[in-house]
Amino acid sequence: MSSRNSDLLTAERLGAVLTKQLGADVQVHDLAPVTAGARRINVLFDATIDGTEQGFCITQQPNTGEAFARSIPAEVQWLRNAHRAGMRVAEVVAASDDSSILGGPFLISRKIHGETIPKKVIELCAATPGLGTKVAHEIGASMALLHATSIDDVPEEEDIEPPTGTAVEAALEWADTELADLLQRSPAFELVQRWLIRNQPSAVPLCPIHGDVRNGNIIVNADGLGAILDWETAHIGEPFEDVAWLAQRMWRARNDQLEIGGFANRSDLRAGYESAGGEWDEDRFHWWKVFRTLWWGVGLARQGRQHLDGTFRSIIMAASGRRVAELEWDALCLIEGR
Amino acid sequence: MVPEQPDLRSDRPSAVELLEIVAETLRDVVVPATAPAAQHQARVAANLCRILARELAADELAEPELASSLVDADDEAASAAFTHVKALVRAKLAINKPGYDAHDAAAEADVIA
Repeated sequence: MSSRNSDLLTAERLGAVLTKQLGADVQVHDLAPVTAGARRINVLFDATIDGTEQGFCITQQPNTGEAFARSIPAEVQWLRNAHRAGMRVAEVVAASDDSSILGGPFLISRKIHGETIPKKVIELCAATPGLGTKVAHEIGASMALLHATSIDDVPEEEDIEPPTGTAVEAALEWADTELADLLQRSPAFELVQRWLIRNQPSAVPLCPIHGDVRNGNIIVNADGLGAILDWETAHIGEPFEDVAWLAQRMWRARNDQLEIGGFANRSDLRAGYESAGGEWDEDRFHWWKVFRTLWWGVGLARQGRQHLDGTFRSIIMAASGRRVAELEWDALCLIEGR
Repeated sequence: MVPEQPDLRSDRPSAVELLEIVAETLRDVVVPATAPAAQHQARVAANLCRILARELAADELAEPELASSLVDADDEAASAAFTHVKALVRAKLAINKPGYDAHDAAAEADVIA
C-alpha cells in the first residue's frame, strides 16, 4: 500500500509543505516509516528549521479510493478540540486533504518520544517504579477532560450519526442486529447479550469520546503519558464506553495480572479520571467492559466473514475468525456468577 | 504424533505431521528470509498450520443441545446452558489458542479486586 504513495512522500516535498506552513526555512531528513502494511501510513522524520532540529510525524491515508471512517480535516478538528481541552495529544502543525501534495490526505504533528508497542510499554512500566500508575492516572485525567467537552464542538460528518437514544440502547440494538448476522450463531455471545439486556445501567448524557484508547494507541516514556494517538474512531458516545475499553484482556499482552493495559490497576485509572472531575461508576464500567468484549468478538467474526465473502480476502482476516473464541471466553468470564 | 492404528490408505508423514513441518518451515526459514511487510502474514500462516494440526488431532466433541436462542432463556435454562457453552468455548480454545483459558473468571475477578 505504501508504495503507491512513496513517489510523492519525499523529504523535498515535506520540506516545502513545512516551509510554507511555518514561514521558515525547513530542510527535512531521516524519513522513517513506523507502520509497514497498515491501512494508514505513519512516517517519523526530522527537520532543520532555521538551523535547529525538530522531530515530526506524518500520518497519511493511502489515496486508494477506499472509504475511510474519518476524513483528515475531521480528525484534525478532533485533535485540536482535545488539545484545547487539556488532553495529552500530539500537536498538529499542518494538514490537508489535497492528495496532489503528498500523495494522499495527511496530517503532520510534532514527534513525541516513547514506546507505542504494547509489550514495550509494559516492559518500560515494569522497569520504572511508579510509571504504570502515573500513565493510567494521566490517561484517566485526559479522558475525563475530553468527556467534559461539548458534543456541539464535534466535527460534523456525513456518515457519522450520533446515537438517537442512549448509548446503551444503541449498543443493545447493535448487538441484536450483528448477532443475527453472524455466519454461525454464537451461543456464548447470546448469553452475553442476555446478560447485557438484564443488567442495563441507567442513562447518562452523551459526550465526545475517543473510542480506541488502549495499550497500542498511547505513547509512553519515562516521564509518563506522551500522547493518546489515533483519533480515527472518535465519536459521540458515553464515558464508560471509552474508559472500559482500556480494561480488555487483549491489550495486556499476556500480562493478565494488571487490568489496565497490563501496566496498571483500575484504581489508578479511576483516581486520574476523578482528579479531572470525572464521575466514576463501577457497575457502568463493568457493563461497558462486557459490551466492548462482545463488540470486538463480533468485529473479529466479521473480519472472518469479509475474508470468506471476498470483501477483504486476506490470511489476517481469515485468522481473525479463529480468534473469536478468545473473546467469547473473556466475555463469559466477565458475566459468570453476575 | 503416531496413529495407534496405521492407516494404510495414506502414507507417513500424516496430515498432522505435514502441517507441523509446514509451520516449522514458515517460522524458521520463510519468516527470517521475508520482507518485513510480509513477515506478519507468514507468522500467521504458521500459526494457522498449528491450529489445523491440533484440530485434526483433537477428539471430536459432542455438540451440546441448546435452545434455538439463549437470549430469552429463563434463569434456570441460562444457567444450565452456561456450563455447556463454557465447555464448548474451552474446546475451541484448545485448538485455536491453547492455554488461553488458564486465566478464568476467578482470575479476572482477582485482577479487578
